[in-house]
Amino acid sequence: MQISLNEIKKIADLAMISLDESELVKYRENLENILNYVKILESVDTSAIELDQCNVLAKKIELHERLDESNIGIGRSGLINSIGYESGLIKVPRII
Amino acid sequence: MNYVNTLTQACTALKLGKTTSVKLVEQCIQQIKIKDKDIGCYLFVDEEGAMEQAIASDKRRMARCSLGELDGIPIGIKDMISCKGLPLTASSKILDGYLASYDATVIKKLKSKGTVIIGKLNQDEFAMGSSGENSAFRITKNPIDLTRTPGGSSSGSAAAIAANLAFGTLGTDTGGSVRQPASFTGVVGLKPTYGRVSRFGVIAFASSLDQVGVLGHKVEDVAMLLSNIAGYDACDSTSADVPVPNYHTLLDKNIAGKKIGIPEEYIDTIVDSEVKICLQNSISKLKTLGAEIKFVSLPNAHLSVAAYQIISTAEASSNLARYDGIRYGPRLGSDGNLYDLYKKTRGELFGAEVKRRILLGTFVLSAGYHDSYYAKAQKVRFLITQDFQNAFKLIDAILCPTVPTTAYRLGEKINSPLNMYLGDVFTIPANLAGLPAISIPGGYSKEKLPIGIQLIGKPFEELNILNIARALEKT
Repeated sequence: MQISLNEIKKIADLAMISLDESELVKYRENLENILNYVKILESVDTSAIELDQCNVLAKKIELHERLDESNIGIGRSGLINSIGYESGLIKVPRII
Repeated sequence: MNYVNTLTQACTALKLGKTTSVKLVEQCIQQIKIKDKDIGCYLFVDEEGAMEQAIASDKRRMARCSLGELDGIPIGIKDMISCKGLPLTASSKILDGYLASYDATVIKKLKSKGTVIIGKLNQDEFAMGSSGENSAFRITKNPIDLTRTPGGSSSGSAAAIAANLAFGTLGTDTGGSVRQPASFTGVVGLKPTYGRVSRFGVIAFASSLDQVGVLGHKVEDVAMLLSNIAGYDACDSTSADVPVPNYHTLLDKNIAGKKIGIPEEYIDTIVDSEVKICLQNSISKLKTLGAEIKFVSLPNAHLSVAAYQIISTAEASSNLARYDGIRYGPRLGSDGNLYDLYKKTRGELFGAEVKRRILLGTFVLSAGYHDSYYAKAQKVRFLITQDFQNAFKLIDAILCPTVPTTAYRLGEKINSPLNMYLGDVFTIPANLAGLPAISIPGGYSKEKLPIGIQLIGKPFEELNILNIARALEKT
């Protein structure tokens, strides 16, 4: 994986972090090294797994159910207009 | 004064009237003044506040109105955890000068039991690091050997126990940040099941992985601390409503017949012969105690560090977006352009490791890369969790080293981030799968450096791994 200095600048802009030229070069090298290492994941066959199966999303759905039950956070009043859950998110009616 | 070192000893001495809370606080303060200029455990010592709490505790005890076994015990708190009125910096310049406006749930619980908060403990900035060298304020050194790292990110929490600067400490563990420093400093560190302890009031690094952990000299110390901080909290929507046993009163059960699994994939990963010998010794001890040793397979465990790097940095890039110079801490570059203010503040006040992780997290979440990195890592995480579920159909707990090596020298890995990340290879899987895990001292190297042994348990079965750990500790 190779990253250009322009890509690092763009990422730094997205992350709202100012970097000087020497930092751009350093972080480009760091990110390339790490991204080359994480390539190890490419070899794993995950085709049978849907993202919805992954536990983090399941926890989010559980979280919303608990919000509904315990009336904390946005609370019941905040859910009055909700029309259900999808992919771990609260669905609300279209307004535009 | 007769010094007591462990939390349980201190509780017993208080109960028997052999010491007072004031004496315990004085002991800690004295030790901090003597030792901490060299070690660097504390970022802030609340000497006055701790003494006030101790006096109040002693009055309660005199009046036979004690709030419980921890009443009057001095405890240190990692600077990721909010204690009302005390500094809360996460060891970052971006929060320099910030005072917490409320207590985290774990602090509320400890205060309701009369525990004395003695101060805020040093750490790697925003819990990002494994050596204690990433603090923006001062490096923490290993009390066993001051030329070596105490591990991290809960560097101050572990070193404070090892140097007797607190009777118990709280840390946080996102990828091993309680267990790895416990291993390097020769103390006990426990990461509970995800959801067992409330994260409300704890600075978020990677929300799906973070857990508050406990450290002490002995297994019974961490068991007592866990009993007092665990439990459902409506303020943390990922908190689990599962009954909490009184762990420390249920220890010392016979472990004969327990099935302990050794991950066969880990055997070749352990290259340090002293760590390997230490594991073999622990296996022998468990066999002597009547436990049954089995090899199990965790075929995807070698992918843990890679999946963790993607998931944790993605979550960190989102969680740390709030530190922009507007809401918290110092502000730089207010020449009228809001975006320049954000960038200058974050660019200059975040440390190198934090910036590296935010950049990586932003990259893996960016358009075109989300599916190939973030979604892929989440799916691999699912596979790793499944591996543990399958293994736990055959066994009661997993035994493995906590860290592949003993404590390395300060500066040895600071310029090689990937090498430092790989040191967490045995601790990260428990975070990805949300499992409880404990590190206990398993032996010493020829250089007299501690070697930690880790036990990983089924979800919410902290008592099981505490019991096995206690049995190993006593053998």
